[in-house]
Amino acid sequence: MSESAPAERDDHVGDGSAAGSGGEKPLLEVRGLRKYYYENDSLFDRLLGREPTSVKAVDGVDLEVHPGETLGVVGESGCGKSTTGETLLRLREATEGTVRFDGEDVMEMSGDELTRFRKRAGIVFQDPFSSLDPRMTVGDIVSEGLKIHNVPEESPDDGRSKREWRRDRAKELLERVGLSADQIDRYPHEFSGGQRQRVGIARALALDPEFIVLDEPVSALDVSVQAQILNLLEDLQEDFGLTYLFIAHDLSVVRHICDRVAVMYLGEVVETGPTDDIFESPKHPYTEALLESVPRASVEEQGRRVDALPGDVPSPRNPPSGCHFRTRCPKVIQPATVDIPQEQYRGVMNLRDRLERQGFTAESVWETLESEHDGEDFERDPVVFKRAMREEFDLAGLSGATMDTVEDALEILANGREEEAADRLRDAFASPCEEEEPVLTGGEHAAACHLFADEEYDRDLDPEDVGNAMGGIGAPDPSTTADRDVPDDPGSGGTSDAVGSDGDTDEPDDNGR
Amino acid sequence: MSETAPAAESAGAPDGHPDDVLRVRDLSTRFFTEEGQINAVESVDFTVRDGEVFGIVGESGSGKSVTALSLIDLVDSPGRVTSGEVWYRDADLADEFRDELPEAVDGDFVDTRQLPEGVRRALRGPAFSMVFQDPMSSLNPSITVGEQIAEAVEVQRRARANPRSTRSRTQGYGMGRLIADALLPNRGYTSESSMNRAIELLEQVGIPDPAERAHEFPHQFSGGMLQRAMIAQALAGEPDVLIADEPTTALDVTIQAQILNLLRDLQEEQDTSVVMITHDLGVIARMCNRVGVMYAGQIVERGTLADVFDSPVHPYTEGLIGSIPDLDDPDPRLQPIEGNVPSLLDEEMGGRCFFADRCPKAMTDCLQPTPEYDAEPGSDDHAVRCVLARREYSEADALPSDHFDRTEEVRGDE
Repeated sequence: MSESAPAERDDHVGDGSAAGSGGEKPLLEVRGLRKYYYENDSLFDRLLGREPTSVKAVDGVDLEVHPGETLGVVGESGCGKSTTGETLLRLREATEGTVRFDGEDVMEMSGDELTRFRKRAGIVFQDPFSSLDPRMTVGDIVSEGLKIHNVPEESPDDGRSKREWRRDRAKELLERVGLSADQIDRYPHEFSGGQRQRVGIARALALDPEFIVLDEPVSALDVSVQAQILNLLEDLQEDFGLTYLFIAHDLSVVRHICDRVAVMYLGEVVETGPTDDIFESPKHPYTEALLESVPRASVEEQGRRVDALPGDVPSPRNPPSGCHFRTRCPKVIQPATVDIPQEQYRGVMNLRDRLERQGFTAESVWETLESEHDGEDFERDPVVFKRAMREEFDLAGLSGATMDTVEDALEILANGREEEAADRLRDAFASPCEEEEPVLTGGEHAAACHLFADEEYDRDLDPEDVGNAMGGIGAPDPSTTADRDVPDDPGSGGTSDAVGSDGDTDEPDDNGR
Repeated sequence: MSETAPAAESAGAPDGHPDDVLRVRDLSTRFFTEEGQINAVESVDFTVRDGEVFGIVGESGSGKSVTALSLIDLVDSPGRVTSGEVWYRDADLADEFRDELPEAVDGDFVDTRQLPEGVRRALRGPAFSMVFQDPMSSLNPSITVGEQIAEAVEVQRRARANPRSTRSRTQGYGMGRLIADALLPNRGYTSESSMNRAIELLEQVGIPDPAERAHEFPHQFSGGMLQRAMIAQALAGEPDVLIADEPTTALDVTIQAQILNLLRDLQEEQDTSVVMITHDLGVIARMCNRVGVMYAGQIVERGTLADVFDSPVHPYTEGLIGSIPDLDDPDPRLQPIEGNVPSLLDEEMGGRCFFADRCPKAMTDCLQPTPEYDAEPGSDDHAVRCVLARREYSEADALPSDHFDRTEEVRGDE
């Protein structure tokens, strides 16, 4: 990725979303937020001349939260959603990027400015069992923020001391979140999980914030209690005019409570848009897979087989080049020179990915084959090897030049030359998805996916800007887009060549809006 | 006692469906702690049939995991299975004990609770095996994954050579071998053939590069891969009944989908019966044929999936279903169950319906212990522990809303 790319992307997204939300000024605006953790970064490592390696927890996130709305951030564990939430409140220092809260730059704040920001933005943590100090009473926990920020500044007129005022305020807050005021002197261990989470919410409310980051506030709770807390959060938002950033992995909770959603994968936002749009017509293949995977609690769900995404999330130490999702994507784009069924292309890509990234060796295949022959004499026959590989990666049924290349690569692999086999596959099957990182495009409902890029560039951008927005790598060749399943979007009226010539070969209703 | 099993007081296995492989009756497990006696499982009845997935759903603390542990006799001190029968269908085992323990045998069924400890232990593996909730903490971090599975294979292999003897399992590896192994690090409990079988099992559960991954340690596996390895280990004994305790709770949704597909494939291939324990109604809906809903140690409602999801009778089941936000049709307001899960302390439970204090339809009848009734709507399997199965709710009999607050205060003052 070139150095200049993030900045250009920022500009583009800024324009797109501003237009989508009707020019309303966002309360919180995050641009190109990055948070890297470094390993091998101690003085000792440097003396030994070791290169520090970075873990890219958050890798260029853009978000906007408008006053009074709830923005959901969803993703699987390790995708960087909690780190995003904590970094934008400056509970962690960002590696790069800007966060503007009500027009002011949070990353540049210091001293009094930062203190004022802390009063206006709060957080509720995920685990109600570890986020409350066990040695403080809930009254002290709730009023601690008041004390730190010296609220009230003057003793109130009615003769109460500041301390009494704070205690009354804590009682008020406890009652507001559904606990009783006479529980104020109890300790956290005397409460159940749901009650503790209520205490955590009361603490976040104490300073009358405008904005609250809710970091998985219900994921540690049972469903019946979870529903109580969700209802409470909705009531509080209405009563106090709060703005929420709601971090969660449970999609049904997100659907229930959020106005807009950002879906994260491996440190990046892959899709963002209004909740109903995302859930009813997801664009990004990852969002589609996520929604497909969720088990629904209804009788129709019985026996439903899900086309599960293969494999695991790759390590953020060394994320895949280009689109981070390409190693698991069922719709990974084939290069112009290849035209084979999508499943087989996926199989070839899986084989290549295993060879390149996961230290896959021919020896281990031989060992597996040997263990199947349990003790008998086993001759290392390349034909057996190739058959096993074809079975494992669904490569049977290829034909023509593609088959020759694959056979060739398997032959090389059977001889134990893994790198050469990987090179061979890379030369023949390199996908456009791995060459450049997709950017969020599409205005209000945006997806970072090459499947949508072409169409959106044609519609949204000046022709001159196309090259820049693609990170300077160059506009896609129109001929390569012709055989791709760009969704047939009736709204855009097929204005562009790519969309026009594409037709509706591949499930247009999956992506159409 | 249950109305569906009127022969409860008489000897022998409870009546049931001809395909039953497991019939559990009146199973109770108590924990004797310093704070008092905790009734974790309270007179639970259910049956599991051949080749089906039976789901147990409930919130944390409802006793679902302890039920599973009680089935396979893994409850640890201070807990104890205090009463109940676990009838398991095994013709060979029945023949073996017909003369010795006539009261523990009924037809092809054997009451495992009455069998000697050693035999119960020998059943773990070939008859029952279990997939635990947290794959990260359930495997030994200092032994390779392949070896841990090979151990399970080896145990089964030795047990098969000398069936139903506990000696074959423990005596095979005694003090002498232990000392020898400490001195000669390459001598293992496992043999090459059991290692090969372990690699086969790993391949069966969809782990790529099984031969290589078998030599890796648990920390080198991702959560989903470890859960697959745990399943491979549970399959080593080719069990008749596989108990899966929250097998996907620690996993992300996309990985959860993989594991659920795997469990379904294995279950269909090998015709295993599965007892699926989870708090996630979605997982239940996808996987299970029949369901039991647990609350405060009791199965409060059971029946087919359609019985429980579409025509629930118990207000707790209704509340549970009303609490989940629907992914496809978000309701503007959730209908949660008020209050919290009870503590299960014996002295605080009292002889009443345990849900009465949170129940929106609590009546004076609910202050009596509630037996299990056949429920009207739905299939023959539908049974519920609620007076609403027998009568309509009427305002006249409703408990005053502060009824339980008052009794609590009274108890507090004493």
